[in-house]
Amino acid sequence: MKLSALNITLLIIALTAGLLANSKSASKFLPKMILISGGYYLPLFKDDGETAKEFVKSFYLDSHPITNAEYLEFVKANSQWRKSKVKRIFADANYLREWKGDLELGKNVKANDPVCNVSWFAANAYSRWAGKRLPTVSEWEFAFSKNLIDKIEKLNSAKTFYEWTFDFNESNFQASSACGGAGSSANDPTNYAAFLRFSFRNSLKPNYCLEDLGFRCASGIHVNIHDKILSER
Amino acid sequence: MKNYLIAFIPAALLALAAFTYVDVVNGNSSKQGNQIQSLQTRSTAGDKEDACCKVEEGTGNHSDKSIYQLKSVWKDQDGNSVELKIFAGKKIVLAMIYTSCPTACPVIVNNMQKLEAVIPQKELKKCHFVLISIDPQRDTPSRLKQYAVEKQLDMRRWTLLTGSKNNVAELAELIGFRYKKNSNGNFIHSNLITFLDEDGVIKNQSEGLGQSSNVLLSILNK
Repeated sequence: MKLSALNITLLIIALTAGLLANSKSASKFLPKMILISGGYYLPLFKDDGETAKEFVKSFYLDSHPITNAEYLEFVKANSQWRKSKVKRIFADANYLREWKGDLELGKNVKANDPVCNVSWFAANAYSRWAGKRLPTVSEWEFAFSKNLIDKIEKLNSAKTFYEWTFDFNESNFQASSACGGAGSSANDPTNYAAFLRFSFRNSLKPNYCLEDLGFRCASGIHVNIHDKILSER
Repeated sequence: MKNYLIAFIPAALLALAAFTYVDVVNGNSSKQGNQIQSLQTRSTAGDKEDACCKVEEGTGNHSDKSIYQLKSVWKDQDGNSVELKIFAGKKIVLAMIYTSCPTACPVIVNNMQKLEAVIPQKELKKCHFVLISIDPQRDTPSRLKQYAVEKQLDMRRWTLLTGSKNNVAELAELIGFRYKKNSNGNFIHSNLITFLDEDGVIKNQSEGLGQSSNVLLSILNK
């Protein structure tokens, strides 16, 4: 009797420890996100026959772009994303160019700087591994619009200029279909920074790795991240 | 003894709960494992490689430029879970479409059928036609099956797939297909037929809707 009670207690301890270990990888990514309350956003380019304003649902956005140190954890856990192993169809030859080795940043790369020279496929894979996703163009532009920029930039290192979005290709499609008169169909022709970002996204291919292009992750507000990670294993 | 019992009952309940939880978690993951394994068996039929390890690697022996490097799992029109690499070994004629499309997609499918009709019988055995939905919400496997019947697709040579939003985005990026959902639920999208070689490398693409079957045949044979 005594023995079996002890056994069960031990079992419970072991199982609890196991479950905690499981959730550890998820919770590690949880605290750095900011709630972006939903609202209306005016896309730079209008769609024919649609109202100009678009509603963006509330979501969480990482307070800072993914760092080299964080990305290192990802490549440790996913060997197919190491510098020497990545497939060219998913990342061009500049992938992690400044890193010294597969699992070594080297002297010139700071652990807390945003990771750059990562492709869209790599950024997307990281986001899913972290139980998150890439923000959409609308979400990104909405979060960085005037009202919210202070909140995010406080924690933002200024090194990356551009960030991947889930549907950069979609903005690409809109922009190219609206391309005829450059800025004529834009909602705010004076928004120079947004023009730059849209034209930059327009020039991207999903396996491009560029030195001023990083990413951060987003997440819906109703998603149980722990469950999501378990279900994707 | 009584004290033991008091301590034992909640402990036993906890253990039971923990076991149930672990069962659920394991049950799910082993189910997924089985799906992928059965797929592996299918895709590598006649291939002696160990199915489990190939899943780990996720790449098989395909070239770095092959779209079969994608590990995403899709559902076909019969509800089977499949990876794109099941198509390895065949020449693939592929289009991304959605079945509720009132305009361009029916033309693309029709063009592919016209192409199918002019490929010589001997060549046809080496070809397979794949339609991939960009509308996961509406295009369930059963809807795809219904579409195949409506369009009278020859299911010996055609497969229809649907997958997650992420699957669709990744594949679209790889083949350079552009699409955007409108507020009315329909899509604006590229009109694109993609030709893959036996290894899943893009050999050619045809953009637009107006190509005759003979033009498409010459593109296939290029």
